[in-house]
Amino acid sequence: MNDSKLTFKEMCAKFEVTPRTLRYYEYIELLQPERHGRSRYYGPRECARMTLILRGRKFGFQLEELRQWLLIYDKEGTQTQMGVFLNMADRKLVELEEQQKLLDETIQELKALRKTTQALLT
Amino acid sequence: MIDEDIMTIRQMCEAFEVTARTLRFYEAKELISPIRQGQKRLFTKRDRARLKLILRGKKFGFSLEDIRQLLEMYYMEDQQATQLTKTFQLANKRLEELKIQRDELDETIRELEAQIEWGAEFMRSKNIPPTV
Repeated sequence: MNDSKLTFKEMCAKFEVTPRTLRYYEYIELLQPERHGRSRYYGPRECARMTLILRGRKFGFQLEELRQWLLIYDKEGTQTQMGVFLNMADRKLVELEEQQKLLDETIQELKALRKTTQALLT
Repeated sequence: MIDEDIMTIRQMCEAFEVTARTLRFYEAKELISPIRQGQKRLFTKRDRARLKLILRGKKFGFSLEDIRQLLEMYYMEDQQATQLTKTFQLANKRLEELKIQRDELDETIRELEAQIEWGAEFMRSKNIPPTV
């Protein structure tokens, strides 16, 4: 067994994810750890993919979107993958800014509500 | 029962832009209590006033349980003092939560912008023109 590979447990600890998450990512083919009987081993490729997946999740990308995006790397290499990422990221940025706007509106409305109720109470 | 103030479920859906399913759900949760005539539901002015409050509360992100409590407080004979106090507290709590959300969102946006910048730099270094 290669020492540089992480066990299932080590992988969970390294990325701060639950066993359930890790198994699920494997189930939907985001990760393909080496299997030896019931044990799983994760090499640099799985670690790199995991980093990208978690970062993508943080930005709000869907797992399926990320799966397809990771396939591009395998098929067409880094540069195409980066180009696709930039397009995805630009679209996501617009979405996040829209969320920001809605959040601000709700915050303003809540402030107004708080002010009105306070005025009626005093 | 012919009453101008009574609305059918379809009229309610149109007036409040909600689905029939939502109205049935609120009814099951006892937030509204339309008159039942066999399969038909008839919504009164009271139901509409309550629905308006429910939707407003939902928009603020109040839980249905909080909303239910607010609605019950309307019937306390204290000039709405309890209801107003509760509303004020909920607004305060929700405001704090949303401010945290807003900070987290700002942080995510900054990180995404940094990633985009880094990616664009990478593409420039490879002499790849930006795609549309």
